[in-house]
Amino acid sequence: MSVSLPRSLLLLVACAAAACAQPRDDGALAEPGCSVRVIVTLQAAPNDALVADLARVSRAQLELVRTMTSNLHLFALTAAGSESECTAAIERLRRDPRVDAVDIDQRREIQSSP
Amino acid sequence: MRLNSFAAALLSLAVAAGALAQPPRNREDNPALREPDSAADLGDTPGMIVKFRSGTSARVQAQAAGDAVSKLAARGFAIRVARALPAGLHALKVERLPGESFAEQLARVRADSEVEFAEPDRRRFPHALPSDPLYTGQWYLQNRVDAPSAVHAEAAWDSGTGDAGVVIAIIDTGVLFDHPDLKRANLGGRILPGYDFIENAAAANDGGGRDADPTDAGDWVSQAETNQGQFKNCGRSDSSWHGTRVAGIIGALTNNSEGVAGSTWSSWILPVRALGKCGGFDSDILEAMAWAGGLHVNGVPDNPYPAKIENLSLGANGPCTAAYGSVVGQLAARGVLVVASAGNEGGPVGSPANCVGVAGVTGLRHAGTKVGFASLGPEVAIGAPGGNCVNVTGGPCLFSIDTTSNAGTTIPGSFTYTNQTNVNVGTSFSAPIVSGIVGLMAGANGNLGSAQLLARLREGATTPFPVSPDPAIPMCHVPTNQNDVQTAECNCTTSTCGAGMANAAGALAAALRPIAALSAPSTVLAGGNVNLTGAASAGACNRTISTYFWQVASGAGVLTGPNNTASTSVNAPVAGSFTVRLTVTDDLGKQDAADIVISSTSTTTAAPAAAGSNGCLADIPPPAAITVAPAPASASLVAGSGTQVFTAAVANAFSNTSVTWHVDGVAGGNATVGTISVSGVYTAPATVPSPAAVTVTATSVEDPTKSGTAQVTITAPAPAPPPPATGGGGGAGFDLLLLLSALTALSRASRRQG
Repeated sequence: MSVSLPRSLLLLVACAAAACAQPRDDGALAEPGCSVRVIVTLQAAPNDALVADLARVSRAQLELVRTMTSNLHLFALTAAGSESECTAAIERLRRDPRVDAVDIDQRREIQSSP
Repeated sequence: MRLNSFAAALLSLAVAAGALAQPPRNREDNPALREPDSAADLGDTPGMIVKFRSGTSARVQAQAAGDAVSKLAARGFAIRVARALPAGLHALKVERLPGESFAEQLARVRADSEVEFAEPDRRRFPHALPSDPLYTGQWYLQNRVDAPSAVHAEAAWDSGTGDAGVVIAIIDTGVLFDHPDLKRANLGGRILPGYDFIENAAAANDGGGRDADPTDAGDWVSQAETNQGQFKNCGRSDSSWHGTRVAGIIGALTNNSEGVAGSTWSSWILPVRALGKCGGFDSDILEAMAWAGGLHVNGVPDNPYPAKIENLSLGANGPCTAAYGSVVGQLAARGVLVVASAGNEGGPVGSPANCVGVAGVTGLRHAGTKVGFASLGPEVAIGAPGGNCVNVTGGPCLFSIDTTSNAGTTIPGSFTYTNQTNVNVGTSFSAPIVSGIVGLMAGANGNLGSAQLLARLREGATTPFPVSPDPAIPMCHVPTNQNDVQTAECNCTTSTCGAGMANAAGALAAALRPIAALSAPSTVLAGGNVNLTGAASAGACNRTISTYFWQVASGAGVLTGPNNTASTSVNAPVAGSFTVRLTVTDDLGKQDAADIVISSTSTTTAAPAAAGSNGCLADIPPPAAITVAPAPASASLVAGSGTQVFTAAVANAFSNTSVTWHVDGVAGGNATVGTISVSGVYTAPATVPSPAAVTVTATSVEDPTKSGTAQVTITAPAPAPPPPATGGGGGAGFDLLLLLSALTALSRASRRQG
């Protein structure tokens, strides 16, 4: 899936990365980095080789957090550099033919007021 | 309500017919139903309402009832009374032929060539009101002149109050099981066990991550938490008890003389916790949705109570993600309809409400206009009350959405209800009103799939939307971008607020229509014979298909088979295509139609090949009651000494398997009957009680009405044993006797010697 990233998505990645509360167990990066959890729709169940190859393709650290449904998989994506590196890594993931879609694991809220 | 009088009459007839058709089971399950038995009602009703065919109706209307009545009379009908009604209708009373029943007479009138339709002039009854004392404040369920957006639930309840075969999942903050107007399902309440899908322990706020307990632990965010850590920028807030509020709207215990009424009275509620402090993440929400609908989720026991409807009063800005699209699609394939709130930003519809196949619900003011905060757009399926206060300078909030809640600002406090001062507004509460309506629909026709439920929900809506009499109120428009917000009242359109205003009675009437199923070979030969069948069509619960009617709806096709049987045939065209329509009619005259397009090479239809065979859903039994079994079942101890450790096996508990201990009815026991610790260690009393047997009782903390017992028999200490014998003499006493005997002998000897 190949799409251009609008400005709003860049902001979303930044917000999601900042808000992402899930603990990382991959240790500190050697340089400032970005981290974001993504829900990846895959055509096949991921194995170690596939995850490693997707990490290579995306040029980011990619850790399978858990399989959610038969085709949805939650990954922790970490990249060195600025927030835009995560955005770029997501875009590279989306272009991989083995990947149907990549969505940022966003926060949703109740819709009552006040 | 903007129905014209004729449409209103038709709707009324449809609803009445729906009520008439309810099976005995539903009648017994419906404590609100106040109508007498339908047969007795018809038997006492000699009148009928007749409409003449259009060819004569205009003249009839122009010349009053006289001509029409005369024509009927000329054909042998003995007209006793005739009165013209609005909309070209006539109220007639006709003499019956000797031995003729009313039904036979009605059939005779219907068979007249100039009669378009004839219906019994039936007695009507005031709609039932539930006994819940706070129901008077639940304007949104009623049929009120001053609140056109109210959903007419009372009229729907006369036809059906829901079904225990339907599960409605609430993907939310969890629920407070012990609210007296909700309660656990195995304690006479509505709430099934559910699950807690919040992975992050801090967000879950209940001491851990995922577990089997979806109790709402509170989602408050303190000021300190907003300054750093994962809740930074979330905003300080008290606990919302949001899931409990939503649950009450869908299914508060109804007609129980307590609190509020639910939209549906019988369906089960499945609480699935995915929102905690500062909301929840897609990854948790999506898995909660999947699990609730019966899909397998790794690491979690499969849901024993798959939901037919999922309520998501949550969302965020942005388009529908592929992940939501995938899960919604998988759920739809299982017949599950997702109902979601549109959002409170007054802007474009949020996600997941904007996903294809989701029933997105926007919020309406009492007057039927869009309430300021409600998001809007073409993705909205329907509008429903969202709560509005009218008073903008203080005073009570006149049209708050009353429901179950809690007074605790952090952890749970006293159980309460929202009202005009404890205000409850938001599209979060529009969605559960609709979920409840869909629950009524699913209970009436269990064959309806996700898309059918959504279509008939919209079909039953009240239209058109009211227009504010205030000329300053603008028409709503489709937001052009995220920043195009309409945070003030506006007049709804079908491109901004959905098909209309949610109407429980209309939706239920639509659900009660049969389902036309249609199948044919997908590929055909040009000019070849094509067999079509509608035999797998089905009626709603306890209704059957009575007639089939085939016709060429468009194009130049010709039926080669009969037009009034379950199956027929046509010849495929040599070129081009034509459309064949099947109309099925059930035993109460309700209809559905399905089209199939036949080309020279293929057939195409959106109709299901089979309507299903579960029109009446089987009741889902509540979870098994808790049982408590102490072990050992009996024991014997000596007074003044000895202890016995008891354990209690608690089965079927949702989450809490702990017990409290009593001895002969005394919590913890006492010195007379013995004591027992909180961990089950029993210590015998110092003396034997009377009676000597005491009862140790373990009582479930989760359900204090469930307990198990064990018996302990207390015995007296054994008497002191006799002194033991030693050597040949047998101990000190014997030795003393020997000594005394020797001394006596010596004394006697000395006296003899002296």
